[in-house]
Amino acid sequence: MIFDILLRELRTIFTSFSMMTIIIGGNLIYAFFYPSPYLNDIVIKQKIAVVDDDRSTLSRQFIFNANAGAKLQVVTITNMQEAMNLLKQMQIHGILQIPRDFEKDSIKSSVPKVYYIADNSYFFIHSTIIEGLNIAATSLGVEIGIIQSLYDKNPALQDSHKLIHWNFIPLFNPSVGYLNYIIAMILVFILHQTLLMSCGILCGTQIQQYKQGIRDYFCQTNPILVIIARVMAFLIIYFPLFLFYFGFIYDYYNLTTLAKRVELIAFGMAFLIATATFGIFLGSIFSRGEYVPQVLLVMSVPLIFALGIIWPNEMIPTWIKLFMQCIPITPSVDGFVKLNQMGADFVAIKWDFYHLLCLSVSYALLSYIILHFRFHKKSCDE
Amino acid sequence: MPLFVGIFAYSTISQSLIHNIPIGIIDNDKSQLSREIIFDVNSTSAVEIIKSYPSVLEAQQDLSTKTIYALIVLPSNLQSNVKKGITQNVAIYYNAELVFIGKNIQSALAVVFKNKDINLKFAQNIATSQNPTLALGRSLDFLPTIISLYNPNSNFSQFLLTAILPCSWQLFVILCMIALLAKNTLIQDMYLKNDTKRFYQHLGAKFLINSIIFFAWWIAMSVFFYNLSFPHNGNIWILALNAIVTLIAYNSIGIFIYALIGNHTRAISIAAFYAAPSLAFVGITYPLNSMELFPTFWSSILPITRYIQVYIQQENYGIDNIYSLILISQNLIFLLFGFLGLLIYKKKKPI
Repeated sequence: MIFDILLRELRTIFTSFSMMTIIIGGNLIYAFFYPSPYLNDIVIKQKIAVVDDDRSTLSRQFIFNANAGAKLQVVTITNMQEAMNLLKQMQIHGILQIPRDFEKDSIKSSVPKVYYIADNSYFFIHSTIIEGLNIAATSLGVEIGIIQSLYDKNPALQDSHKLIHWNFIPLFNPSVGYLNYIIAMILVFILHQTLLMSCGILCGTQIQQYKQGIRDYFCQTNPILVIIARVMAFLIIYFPLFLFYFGFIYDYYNLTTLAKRVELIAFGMAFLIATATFGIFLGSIFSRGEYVPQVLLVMSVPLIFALGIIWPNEMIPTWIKLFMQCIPITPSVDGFVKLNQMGADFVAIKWDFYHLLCLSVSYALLSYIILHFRFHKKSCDE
Repeated sequence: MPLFVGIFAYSTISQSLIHNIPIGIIDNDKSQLSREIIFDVNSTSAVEIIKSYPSVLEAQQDLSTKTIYALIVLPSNLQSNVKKGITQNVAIYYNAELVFIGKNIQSALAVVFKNKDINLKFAQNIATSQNPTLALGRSLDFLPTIISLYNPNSNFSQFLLTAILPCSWQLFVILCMIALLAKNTLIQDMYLKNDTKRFYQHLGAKFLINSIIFFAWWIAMSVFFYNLSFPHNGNIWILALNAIVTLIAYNSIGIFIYALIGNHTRAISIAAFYAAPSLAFVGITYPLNSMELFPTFWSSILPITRYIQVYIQQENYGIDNIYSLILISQNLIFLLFGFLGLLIYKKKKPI
């Protein structure tokens, strides 16, 4: 009985052009397409201009240091007006201004001011420029220390060394790059969205067909069987895709994969089941096949930001957090990132796992109720 | 729906500044100095020490479940070694998986530690030189002053909303254009195509309706930005022109796609493929100049990229109008798609 429905579901899915475009085309193309902007992983060689009012050995050393680092590229040495013009035309994104008597003052132990000017319209360019200048300044500080101690006729370098070495150690993502940050999350998100869309199209189309008077297997059997069969159908289609993403694509982009295989697959199954039931639920609310993909499309960017990966969870208002808890993507991304990127144990993500199971059961029940009223209440009346 | 998307996106990041991110500490020294460091760290607004751990092992679990985002480890004998002039290592582990949060924590802590360095050196120098000015000059070579242009407080919602909302807007434009076109039934379609004049009138009306609706949304968006007191140095007419050209460009692409595909659901999937991931390609979240050839190409075929560039140039920089006009005129190329779409739509037999 249930296998019969399963086969018919699979046949419907495989013969529908729009669903196959989303499932095969969407997943395969997006896996290569979406990460393409981030392939360079880290931001380097940001262009800056230098306004050097000192023109001394030390200021030239500073410029050399800045240019030598990986983060910056000094394109021109000019005056302030010209530099601001270049910045407004987006030719450069930062300016280093070295004041007059910079060399004299820093060696003579008064404290000159140096200006780091950066365009904060682009956060990551801004932070790269400031970081690059800070690195250049730190190495310059050592040289100033040496010159100072020579002037003091006291070549002991003890004064100039650092008392505390503050050692920042990035965890989980050694390059502090974009791949492990955005792409690891986006890949899960793509699977989630395409699964919801194809589920939504399938359910919506059937409701449309029902309205047009077509009576087929989907309204002639118990809705619970249809739901189970549909979840199984999508599992059969999506499990290989899931393996392809987590087995091949993660490796392809050199993402860290710390998760143990069994744990990953167990969590992945929960993810797929919860997403499929949610998709059926969404599809049964809306009366047409086109609505679900559109709603999902316009919501996808806001959803990504509400996940607590880009913008910290602690800063997100409660109503949004509650809303997000009802969507399977939240526990899934949380769980996958913890498993794969941060190397947490399954114990640490067990609540995410239960959360997904909970969502699956509740959405299955809700869609049962909706489908029952849509298909069976009316047919009894007729 | 656009309203819901707007409110949702806005309230998610409405706090706009990162503050009180929970971090942990391991204090193996328990001296005056280590207490001072803890106090200084707590006094920055960005982070807050919520828990102190006896060893790294206990902290590890909390780090990987994101209970804390960073961990500072102060070694034993920190104070006595610093006084003896022996360099001490203080390790700060931070969660770099969440790049944005990690960078914020790092820069906040770096400021605190830099001040601490100067403090310590000053204490050391004043002991030897007994001259405060000289001692200060010795402890500090020069004072870097960071000037962050156009967004001095690193306001996150200014940074992102000005990109997210236009990107959602363009997606709505193209989806609605397609939905409007797809509303025709087959018979209407047949009938219209036999009557050239009515056909153009009909299409023109849809084009106009869509443009007016979304121009109204654009005005709403601009008023909203104005009320949030984002910088507004721009020429309002240039900005409006920018919006209209972008709008027409997306309408044209919508017609082109629908004419080519001729089926609502399929046209949506193609349009979505084209326009939905635009946020990644416009160069706000990840700079354009760090992208490779293909993504650079893709971002150049999205009108919204130039829309946002013009927006930033006008509102933030207050640049000369001529530069913006050049960018806007580049978007006019997309109108060709509209004409092409029109021809195809006209010629094509209804499926």
